[in-house]
Amino acid sequence: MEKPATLGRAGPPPDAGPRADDATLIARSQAEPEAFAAIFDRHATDIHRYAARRLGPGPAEDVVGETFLTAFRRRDRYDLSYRNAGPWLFGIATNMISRHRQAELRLYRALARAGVDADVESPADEVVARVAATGRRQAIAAALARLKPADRDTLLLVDWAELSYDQAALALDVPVGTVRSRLNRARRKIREALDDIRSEEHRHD
Amino acid sequence: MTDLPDPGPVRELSDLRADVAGWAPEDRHRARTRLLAQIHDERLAAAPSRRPLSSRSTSRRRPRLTRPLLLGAVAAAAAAALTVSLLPGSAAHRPPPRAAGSARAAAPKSPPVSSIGSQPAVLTAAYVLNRAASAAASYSQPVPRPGQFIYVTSVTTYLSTEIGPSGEKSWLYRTSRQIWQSVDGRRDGLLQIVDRGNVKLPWGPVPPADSGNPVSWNSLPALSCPGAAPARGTYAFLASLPTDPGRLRTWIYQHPDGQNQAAAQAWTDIGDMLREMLVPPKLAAALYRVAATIPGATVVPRAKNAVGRTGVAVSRAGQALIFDPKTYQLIGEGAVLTKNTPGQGPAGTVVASTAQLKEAVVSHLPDVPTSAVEPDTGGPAC
Repeated sequence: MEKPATLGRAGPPPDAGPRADDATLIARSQAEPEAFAAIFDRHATDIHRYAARRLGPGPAEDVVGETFLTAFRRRDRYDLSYRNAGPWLFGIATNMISRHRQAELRLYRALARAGVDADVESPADEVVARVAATGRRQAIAAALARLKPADRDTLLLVDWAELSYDQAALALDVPVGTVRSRLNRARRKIREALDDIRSEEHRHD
Repeated sequence: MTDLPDPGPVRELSDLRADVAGWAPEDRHRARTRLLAQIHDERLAAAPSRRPLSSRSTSRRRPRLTRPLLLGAVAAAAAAALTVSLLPGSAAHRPPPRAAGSARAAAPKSPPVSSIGSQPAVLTAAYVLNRAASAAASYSQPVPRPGQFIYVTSVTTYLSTEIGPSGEKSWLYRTSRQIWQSVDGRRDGLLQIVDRGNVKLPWGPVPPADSGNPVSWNSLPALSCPGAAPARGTYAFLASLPTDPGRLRTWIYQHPDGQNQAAAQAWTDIGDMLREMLVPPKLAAALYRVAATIPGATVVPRAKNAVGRTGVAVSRAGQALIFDPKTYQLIGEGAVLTKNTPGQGPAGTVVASTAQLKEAVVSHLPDVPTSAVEPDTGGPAC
């Protein structure tokens, strides 16, 4: 069979036009539910990574499943003026993660105690640097466990999920000023924890 | 304090767990497949108040969280009974006598068997179903008006399968249900689910004991659209179907509510129409007569419903209707796996056992605080 080279030049086939944005796909999924799979394809890996950082890989798997099923069921309420569904999905995922709060806190506390992270492949860095890094990791993990849940959600949506302040506000359904003040408070606490451990390190020098 | 400048991101925080183990492609693929199956199931749930009889853990009505362990001896007994009795046994395995199904199909209005009065030597599915039809035709029951609700209580045991990192894990979960369904489908209905605990399968894991709220209220969205005919799944819809068995049979085969092979789908659809519903007597009779014409059904002389009541069941491909052995009223349903299924169990494993306890017509929904009711999260009906 000959390659349809000339046909290709005549114009793209109907499905190969500019990539449909999330809003278009969600609208389409009202009539064709299977179209929602494309939303999964675009965002599932990011959601999984975010959930795995907060909960570990096992619960992350559940969170992803719950997030996309919930999103599918709520798709009729999606505001189609937002072309990127990421913040909406991260918002749902944050709710799902909050159902596993005890597991999350256990994870941070274990990390604070041991300093080693079973879910992370240990980089082969130099021993001394690793010891110092371990101390700081423990301090941050302990501080994360102490944050108020809403502050932690906000902080990690911005610093781990890499949402903008506006996107985090959308995800959490709060004004962007609230995102700022929560971030402010959370980051200050993390810094304080780091400062404490640094002065500790100096004393041992 | 709040006027302090933004301290900016903390690098050590941004790096923390940044190298968390990635998502294995096969795990991602499985999650995607599962989502698509769930989407497919939700789409098939033509009547949102129903759950497919042998559904996997994907039905929207399935309690989302696993609930407290409240192991009931009755559940275990019912499960054990179903595990054994609905599996095609030596007697039930034999094909029914040739005359049974076709004779009834040819003369649905005058089934000779039901007029005999005593049981034939070999109990056939067609005999049981035609007895049920004769009994149903003589029921006297209220005729609901548009705007009212059909109220049904039932006890159910279903197989719950969870797909986790280490594969599929299954157990049985029991609930008591009270459902209020709008007669014409134009009003929202209500469903109360009381969790009655999980039951471990002999080969399965110990089910999780989660002390969540054991009582949940769920809103059932209106099914019928303004100006349109009553939606499938409503009483008004059932009342609009032909009650002549021949015409009803034609309608059922022409309007499959799924993509299974025709006979299997017809059997499933009849079960769906009977479940958690007050069925107009003439239609119930016609449904049983149609079921009697579907090839492949066998009799299970002694089957237990979900509350341990013994009845006579007709089973096709593992899906059974259970009737009172004297009155031939429907007392529940049962379903078993027809083949060994990894992660769920061997052939004969019970995947569903129900008991329908009460049907009534009521004019009002119970007074439940809105805050206690989970809104329906499905798409709009119209």
